[in-house]
Amino acid sequence: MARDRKGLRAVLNEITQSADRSPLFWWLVEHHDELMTAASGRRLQWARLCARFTEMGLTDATGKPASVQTARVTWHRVKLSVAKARLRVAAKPPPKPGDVYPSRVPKDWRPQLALPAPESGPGTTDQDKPYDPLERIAEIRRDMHARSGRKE
Amino acid sequence: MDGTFMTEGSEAGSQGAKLDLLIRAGRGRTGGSTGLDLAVQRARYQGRRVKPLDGDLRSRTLSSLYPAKDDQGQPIQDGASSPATDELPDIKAWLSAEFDNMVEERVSRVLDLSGGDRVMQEYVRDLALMDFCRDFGIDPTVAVFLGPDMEDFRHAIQLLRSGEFRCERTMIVLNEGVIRHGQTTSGAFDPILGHPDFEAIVRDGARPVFVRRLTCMATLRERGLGFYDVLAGKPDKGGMKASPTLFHMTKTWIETFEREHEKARVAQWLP
Repeated sequence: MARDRKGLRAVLNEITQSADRSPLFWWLVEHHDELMTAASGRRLQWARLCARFTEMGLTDATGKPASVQTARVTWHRVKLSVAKARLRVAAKPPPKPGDVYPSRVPKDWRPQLALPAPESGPGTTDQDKPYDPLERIAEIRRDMHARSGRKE
Repeated sequence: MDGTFMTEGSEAGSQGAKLDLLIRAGRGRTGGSTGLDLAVQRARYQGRRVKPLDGDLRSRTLSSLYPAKDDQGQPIQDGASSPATDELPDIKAWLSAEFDNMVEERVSRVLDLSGGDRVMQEYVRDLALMDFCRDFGIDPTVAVFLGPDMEDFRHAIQLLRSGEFRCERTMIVLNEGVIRHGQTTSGAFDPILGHPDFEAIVRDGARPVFVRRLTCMATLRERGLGFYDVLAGKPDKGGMKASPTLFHMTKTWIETFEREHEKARVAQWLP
């Protein structure tokens, strides 16, 4: 868990390109998951939260107690940065063979199986045909003419 | 930290595999709000959550169809959201907050900014919206609604040629529902379909789709019946179900809509 957070923080550092984020920012990063669970789609009560942050010594980037507006903006930035960092971590390719020491390989590890490509069905639909933009215009024109009682 | 004292409200968001942002573009009075309403109804009927974003403070179509609060003032899940005012900074702040929430909740959105293309262009540029969507796993679609008005068409061409509004998933909705009384469908749309600029943007990847007029649309509106309410056999606000003719017309129209969107290869782009 601690290692995950360290990795996330490293990616966040890379994304935010800034080592001088406020103590409040990093505290919110560290407690992101707990706060998201607690908030669970509800409105956060920032005035009360700011009082708690001040008690805990969590300041803004200038070292002052965070205002409601600052805290709200910081939380938004934290949410976006964490989501972005997680996407980046998730997008990293799996380790290549030999990258992990055998002693570190989990006991339940199994090689990935390559699944066969799905077989196509007997009938073809519109989706199977290549899309032809000009034929699409012609198709619409035919439909409109038919609706207008015109013959081709 | 104890989270219970810090929050208010009750409803949590849900995870969904498909996260779409459908942006209505183009000028007003082309049936875009109705198009977005249909997209919302369709998604909900098929069991997917969608939240309407109503930036059209003049008509407030989506806000009136999808109120954010009930009669007791309690919040309604996925009710429409609107900016505080139609001032540019308010709209931008509202869009930012909504997109943040979208990432957090993983619930699709439809965005109506009737006549607000300039706002959207600025915002798209400020945020690099298409990159933002890619980074956060959102699939954006721009839907340009067109009636027979050539001025609307010229505006749409200008918009689609501007770099800011370039979107891999762009559809051009030719809306029969807004043609003038006495005009034939071909008479209304032939000048657009035959225009070299139209062919150019379609060759460039925009997907045209033709939406037919639903002659009983006004009746459904008057009775407060949604398109899919009719299919589901729900009663109107007076407790009456749709008559067989109303049911048949609506069902046929929805089937044609689906078939046309499949042919146009845009059905998967809808939320």
